[in-house]
Amino acid sequence: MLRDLPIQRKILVSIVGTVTVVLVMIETVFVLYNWISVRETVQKNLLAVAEVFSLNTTAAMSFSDSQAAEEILSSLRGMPEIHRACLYQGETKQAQLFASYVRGSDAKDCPLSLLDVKASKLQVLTVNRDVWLGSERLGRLVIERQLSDLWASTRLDIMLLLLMLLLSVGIAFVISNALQKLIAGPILALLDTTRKVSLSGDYSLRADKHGDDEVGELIDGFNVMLSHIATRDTDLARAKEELTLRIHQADAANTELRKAVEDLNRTQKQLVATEKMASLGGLVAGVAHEVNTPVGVSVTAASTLRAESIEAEQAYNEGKLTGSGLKHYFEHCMQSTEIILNNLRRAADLVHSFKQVAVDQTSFERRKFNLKSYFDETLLSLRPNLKNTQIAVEIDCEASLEANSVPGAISQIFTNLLMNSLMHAFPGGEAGRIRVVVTECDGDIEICYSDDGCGMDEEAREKIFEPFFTTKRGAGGSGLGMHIVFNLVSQQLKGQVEVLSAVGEGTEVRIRFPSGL
Amino acid sequence: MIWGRRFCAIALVLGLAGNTFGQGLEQRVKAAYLVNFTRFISWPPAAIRGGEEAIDICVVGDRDIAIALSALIKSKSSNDLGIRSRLILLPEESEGCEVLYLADNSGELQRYWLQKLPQDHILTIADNGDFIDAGGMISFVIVSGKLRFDINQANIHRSGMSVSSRLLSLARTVRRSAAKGSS
Repeated sequence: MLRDLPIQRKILVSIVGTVTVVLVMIETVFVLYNWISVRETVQKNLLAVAEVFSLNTTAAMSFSDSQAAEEILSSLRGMPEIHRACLYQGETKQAQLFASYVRGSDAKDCPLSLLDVKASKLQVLTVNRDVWLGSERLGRLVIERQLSDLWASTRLDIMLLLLMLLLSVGIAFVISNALQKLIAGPILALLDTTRKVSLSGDYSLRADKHGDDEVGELIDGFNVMLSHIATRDTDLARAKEELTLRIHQADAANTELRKAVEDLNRTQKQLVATEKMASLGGLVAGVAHEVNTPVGVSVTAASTLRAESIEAEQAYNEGKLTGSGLKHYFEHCMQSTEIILNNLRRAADLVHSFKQVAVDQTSFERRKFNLKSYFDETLLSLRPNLKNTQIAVEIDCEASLEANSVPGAISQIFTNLLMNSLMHAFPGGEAGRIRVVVTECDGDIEICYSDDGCGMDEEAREKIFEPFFTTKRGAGGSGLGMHIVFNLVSQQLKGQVEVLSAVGEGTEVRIRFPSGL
Repeated sequence: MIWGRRFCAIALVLGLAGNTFGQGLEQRVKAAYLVNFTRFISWPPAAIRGGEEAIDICVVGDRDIAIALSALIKSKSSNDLGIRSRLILLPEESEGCEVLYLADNSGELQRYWLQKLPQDHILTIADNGDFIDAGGMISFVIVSGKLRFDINQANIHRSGMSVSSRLLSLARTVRRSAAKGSS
């Protein structure tokens, strides 16, 4: 409460408050002391009175003349404060009322037994005095005096002192009012300056110094601080300007960079698309070559059959056709047609699978398909690439395993992985083994593709999915194969791919994707 | 409890009072008065015989009062009081008496005793009101059932004694002039 008062008010309150508290304490002590000392004096006087009256009533008591005793006591009438005097006869414990004096009608009668007499109270002062006859105690005189006069004078004292207090506080107020200007003036001026500075932001302003006390020091310090701030402000403004310039430059550079990155991305996408088409082209070439063989065989068989048939017809027309000759011709016919049929069937198979793979690779259509047969078909379409190698490809997949996914992506992934193995794992045409294990696990399909080729180092393994990363730049590697694999797995299959490999220990690629998208 | 005790105390006091009434309350009260008078009278120093501090109360003609006096003195500590009492028959025996109580109301006898007293400084007390006019100093009177007394201050002064104003204030009448018919 006091903490939030203005400083002028604080000074005023502390001075006036101190004066008030001190004065109240002094006056309280004074009033108390006065009251006690006056009461003591009154008590002494009353004791003297009691002494006189106890002496005077001795005879009356010794002669049991209570009437006389009351007459003596009645002379207390001359002391108006004394409102009651009670004279008791007998031993203290059994003392009975002997004579009494009661002033006016407002005072109560004396209690009949001394034991019932009350001690002094705030309003009533009671003194006791034993009545002696020689060495014999006859009884006791109890005089009660009202303290109304003492209270009246005390009230007057308090009133006077309160008046004095008010006067003193008033004077203290006036003096402290004058003094607080001396103390609070410089502080307020300083405060005014700080306000001006913080409102206008003008740090060239300075506070005026009034004296060499602590406030003067404070003002000096404040002025020094202001100059520091002004210097710092200038520095800051300069730094800010520089920073703005830098930011502008950085922004411009950023825009250029962004444009470059966009270009790069576009180029990358184009390259990826080109690579896809290129791999498709490779596939087409392979398939064409593959189809060529059965068709060629068929053509040879058919031409042989035709030559044979012409020969047989000629013999028939000349009538030279013998039974054994005809039989020989029939055998030949059967053989040839069988060869032709077999090879044409094989060509039809190839065309069918190529059609399937080609359609899937370009369309990325989603459908439900059997994994085992799909892998077989894909492998069939890749057979030409394996023809001149000593590499065995093994597909381990449960025949009933199905997935609802994007088969085109899977065949392209498989193609890329296989081509990579051929190019990188067995670069010198070594004998090797490629194994594809397909399993289902918790609604996911896991394809584990592994070869036992030369493997790769850690650096290559870490960068394997980066576009254009290749260890065979000069030998025709585009650096996009594994990047395409990564894109296909993550975008088309919504799955994850990881590569485990070490130099000389083969390579393992694990692909995991949901079986039902 | 307290009330019960207080009631017992009151009954006891009443019982004692009844007893004393039956066995001569008047004598007991008079004996007490006689002792009390000695407290408010001062004798000249020479009057106290041979350095003896004790005050002798001599009773003439009333054995009961003498007995009551003895009992009273015995009941209190006689050393504190410094009071003795005796019963005497003849004026000659009153040698050494500070207080003389004449129980006989006969004026003639009283006059005889007053004349025959061997020394001054004897406080003379009797029961009849005209005793103080006949040269006596204090006479008992009974006023409305209460024992009071009259004092002839002049007679006391003439005998070289003084009487306390406190005692005078208790007296029914105080004679300050010389009594008529005194020697």
